[in-house]
Parts: sequence; structure tokens; C-alpha cells
Amino acid sequence: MNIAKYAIPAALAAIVGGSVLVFSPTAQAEQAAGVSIIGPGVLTRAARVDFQIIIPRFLRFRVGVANLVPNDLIEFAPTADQIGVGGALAGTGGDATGGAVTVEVRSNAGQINIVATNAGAAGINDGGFNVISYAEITTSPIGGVIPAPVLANAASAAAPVTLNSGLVTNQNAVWTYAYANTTIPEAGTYGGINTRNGRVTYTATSAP
Amino acid sequence: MSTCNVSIQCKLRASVLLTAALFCSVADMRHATAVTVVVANGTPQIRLRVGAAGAGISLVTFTLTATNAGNGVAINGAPNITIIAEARGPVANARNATLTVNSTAAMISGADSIPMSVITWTTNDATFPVGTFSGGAGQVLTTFQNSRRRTTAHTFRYANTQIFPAGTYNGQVTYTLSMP
Repeated sequence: MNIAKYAIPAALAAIVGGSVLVFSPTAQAEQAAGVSIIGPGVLTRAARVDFQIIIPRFLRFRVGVANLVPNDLIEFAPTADQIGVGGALAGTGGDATGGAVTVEVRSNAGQINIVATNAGAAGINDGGFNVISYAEITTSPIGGVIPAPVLANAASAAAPVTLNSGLVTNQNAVWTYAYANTTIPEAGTYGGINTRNGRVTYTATSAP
Repeated sequence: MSTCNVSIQCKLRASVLLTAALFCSVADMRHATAVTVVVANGTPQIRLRVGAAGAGISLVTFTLTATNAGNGVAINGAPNITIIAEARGPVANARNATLTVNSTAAMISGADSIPMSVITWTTNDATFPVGTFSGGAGQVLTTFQNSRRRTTAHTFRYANTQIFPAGTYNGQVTYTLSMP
């Protein structure tokens, strides 16, 4: 009978309490930095990991349906009895329905201001010479964390968004449109989906 | 007719038995073989590796874009971090080793900071539970009896539920393996 004896150094193998623990040469090589602590008493060894988060400067802005597709259409259809008698008329449409749209501003770029622009100096037209001033389209709220710009022909004044803290803005709002109905325009269809000067473009801008 | 007798003079488990059997098979099936494994009693010892092998400190990076910053969708960090913790003690002296992490210090970018508690991890080893940095000291990750090794690869994730000022935020956590 041949008997082979393998004397395994303690550093490579240990049998304690019925369990086997093998420290492979590979594992030792991985720890060439001296991470092994040997000795009596309390043994303690520390290792560190660094973390890094890279956050860009950004501004995200939403009015109505997300991702700009499709654009929202807000429609007012006063009846013959209602035209020009005063009293604002609610609209229909908008992603929030009832002539309302969802508004979101997310940014870490400092103060954000919103301006509304349209292509017409006179207002919304019917394809001919008749126009309805954008002053007849009201938006609420004009205050709040994201105040709605007051619509005007061509361009509105800037509406400042409330900062949450420091340079960070993270605000939500719902803007609701109404037709002021203070004039008596010619019968017709004024504006529309990117026609007859019916489109308003909102632009959010950060401080330089 | 070839016979092969094996005697084992030691308390060995399957891995050593298999080694012995293979040796028998390869060397000579006609001779009886016995194997004795002698393991010297050693001093207590612990080992810890966190991250890449070598002396450097591994860096986990989360890179956000203008599109996804703060949108609530978690961002995976890279690379994954390997953690290997080993402990052994002398014969008949069972001891427990404990791996903890200190994540007290926040990640800093100038005057701005992000707490470490926005970072979670998943693991590929059940003995290292998934978790979230507590933002404190002494957070226990795992405890095991000596003469064992615990190995895992952690995948870290940034929660990305808040909007922070632009910048490169740097932080560091410290893992500590101890065996009383």
C-alpha cells in the first residue's frame, strides 16, 4: 500500500470544526496590497470605495402632452347667445381636459423664466382680415409656483418660476385657458393647429 | 482485475475526497492509496478586498444626462465592486467576523452635497443582502463564522429621485471587516 501524504501549509488550507477553507494562490495574488491581518485579539481590516455622481446642468420644460406629440388644441365655441356678452367661457381640450394643460419645470440651472410668443402682431385670425386679440385668451393662475404668462399679441412678459432651493427648480402646475368674450368678432374659425396664428409657443429660459 | 482502495485519515469533505479519487485514477488503479492531509493550526487571520485587486481605491461612477437627471429612474453605477471577506481562527475557537460599512460622509461638489443614502446595491450572493447605504457608521453587511470566505459583486444604483445642482460629486465609504 502506498501512502501519500500532503502537508498543506496553514496559509493555503485549514480544516476547523469540520469545514474546509482553501485560500487559493489566486486569491492571495488579488490581495497583494497587504489586506491580510494576522494575530491574536481583535482583528480589523478596512477597505474603501470611492463614489462619483456627475450631474449636468439642465432644463426640462413641459406644457400639455409630454414630448410635444401631439400638440394640444384648446378650443372655444361660444354660442350665438354667448358672444360678446361678457363672462369668460371655458374651453375644451388640453391634456388636463376642460381647456387645461399640465406644466412641469425641472432644472438645476438657476432662475427660470417663461415667455409665450405667437407669430401675429394682431392676434388670432380667421384666414382673412378678422382677428381676435390674444388678450381675449386668459390663462390662470397668473401666480403660483409656475405662473402662466399673460398672453399678448406677439410676445408676453416673462413669468418667473419659483425656485425650490438654490439653483434647483422642480415645480408642477396646471394652466387653464378661458375666452374673455368681451368683443363681438365676425363669425368664423379663428386659429387652429398651427394655422391662422393659432399657435402659442412657450419658452423657458435659465439665467445665464 | 484492478482494484482501488482509498483510505482517508482526516476529516475531509467532498472536495478533498474528489481530489483523492482523481489522484488514484490517474496515478495507478492497481495500487491502493491513502491520503493524509495535515493542516497546521495557525494564528487567527482576516482578509478583505473591496474593489479591484491591488493597492488603489476603486471608483464607482454614475453619469447622468440632461434627459434623465432627477427623473426618478435609477441609474446603475460602473464598475461593479467585488467584495471578498475571509476569516479563520485556530482550532476549536469559533469566532464570528463582521463586515460593516461607514457611509457617514456625503458626496460633495463645492458647497453642494448628496447623501450616500441615495445609493443602493444589488448582490450576486445571498449572504450579502441587497441594501441601501444608511448614511451612518457601523452598518452591518454580513456576519459569518471564521474559516469561511464571503464573496460577492455589488452593483450600485443611484436613486435619481431628486434634482441636485450641476457638478461632479465625490464621496467615499469605508468597509471594515473585524473579528473579535
